[in-house]
Amino acid sequence: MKPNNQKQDSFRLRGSFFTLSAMELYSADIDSIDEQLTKNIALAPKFFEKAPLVIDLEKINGKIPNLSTLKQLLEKHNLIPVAVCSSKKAHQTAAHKAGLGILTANAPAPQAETIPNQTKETETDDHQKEVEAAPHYEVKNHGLVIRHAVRSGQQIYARGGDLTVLASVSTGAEILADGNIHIYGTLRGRAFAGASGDTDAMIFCHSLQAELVSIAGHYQLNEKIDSNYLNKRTVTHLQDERLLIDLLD
Amino acid sequence: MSQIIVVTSGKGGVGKTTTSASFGSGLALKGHKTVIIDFDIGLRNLDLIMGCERRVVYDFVNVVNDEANLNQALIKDKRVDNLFLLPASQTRNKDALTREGVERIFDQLTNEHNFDYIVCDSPAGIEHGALMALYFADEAIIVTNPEVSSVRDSDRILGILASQSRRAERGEDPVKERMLLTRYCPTRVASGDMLCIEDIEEILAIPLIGVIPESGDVLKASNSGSPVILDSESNAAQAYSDAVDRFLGEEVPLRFITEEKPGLFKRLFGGKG
Repeated sequence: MKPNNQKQDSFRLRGSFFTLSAMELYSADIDSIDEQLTKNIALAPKFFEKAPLVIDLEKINGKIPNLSTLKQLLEKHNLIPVAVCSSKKAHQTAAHKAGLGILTANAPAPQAETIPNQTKETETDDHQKEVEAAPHYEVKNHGLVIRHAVRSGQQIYARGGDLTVLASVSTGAEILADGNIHIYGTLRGRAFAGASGDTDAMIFCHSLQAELVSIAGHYQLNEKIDSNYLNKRTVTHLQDERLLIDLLD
Repeated sequence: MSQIIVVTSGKGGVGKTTTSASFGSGLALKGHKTVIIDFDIGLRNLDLIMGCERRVVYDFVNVVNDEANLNQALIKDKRVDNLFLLPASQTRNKDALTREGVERIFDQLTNEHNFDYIVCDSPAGIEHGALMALYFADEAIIVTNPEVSSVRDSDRILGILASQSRRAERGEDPVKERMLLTRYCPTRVASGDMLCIEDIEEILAIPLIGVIPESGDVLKASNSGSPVILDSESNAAQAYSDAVDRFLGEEVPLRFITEEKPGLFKRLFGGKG
């Protein structure tokens, strides 16, 4: 489709929805924030590199940290703070002073555009009835399929969709997807599903020996994984902000 | 057309040079015209293990820089027919190698010298020298010790082969990868000190081409400047010979992978094991 070019515009402003990582602050203590940041970033340095970040102040009780200091701290960690999310006037003033944008409350997630039904015209009527009778699932993305082993030191990111690996993921390898992750082998490395914040994302694997599993930023290290689930076929998902692992057998 | 084989591992000290020397000799003993190239520029060792350090006049880097031609730099082995060595330079560093220069030498070895096999002895690490050694490879022999850090590094180098070799860059058939387990000690595997063959095969998921038992003969051979494969009495030599046969497509059962039961005499009086 051609864009509407009545005049030669140098840009177009449009409303857009982006998924951003939000830092939900519970404490005003810069030092402890610094310490936790160092730890979290060490888990997935590439993922956090130059990541835009919203500072969410909705859940903090009482005093908030000096936002300019916090901004500097985040920048020191190679993050890019873009805005503050808060409904309180005082917070918004502080954000304004620190040169940060202001977002109010978590607006309900936008409805994704429905993808037009692309059934072929040659299909028989019977077929169409079947299609109509089936519940309507919206397919967002076909995702990325990797047919070979993901080796130590390799990093694969399926941006905007699912990642399927038809082999094993080695210790020291990192796989990320904005959607689900499916591994038809052994997961020994680190897996980050819902990497842009989708809390419905899941990680499926044929044998769980992961160094780390993470969904929308909620992670669990190998040593914290219940041994009943190790070396098993599992699905890892998020429920009420808690990472849960279920057996698939 | 020459086959280019890289002997690599990521980790140092696992037996790449020993393997290059024995494997190359084994191929030549089978009648294949073979050259072994030392890619470990600055830390040249292959000539020592092959016992021809006193015959090095020109080296790999001299040829890359057009300071000598291949005929001047290639050293013909005195014990094995069909076997040649291209030594590394001891006075340069690894940056002295360029892709264009290495490619030109490979072309000459293939088209003018008609080598069947070019065996590239890679330096340790994953830097320039190692990348240069594996870039043109058709086949890779991944030398691995039965311990976790070696297996991890082998895994890393497999990832690099799959993404940074010429075959990968051109989207051709991938480099054929095979693993050679060295310094395998059945007693220590049985006691749980070392990883067993099955575990390593599961982690690396590539075909096993041989298992070389830990053996004092390897050090003895290195110090005397003779590839261990020529010491036909030794278990390590026989295991290398088997690996060469498997490389050439023969089916040979694995040997020396189970614990030897100590005899009565040894049990009574002890022994060095």
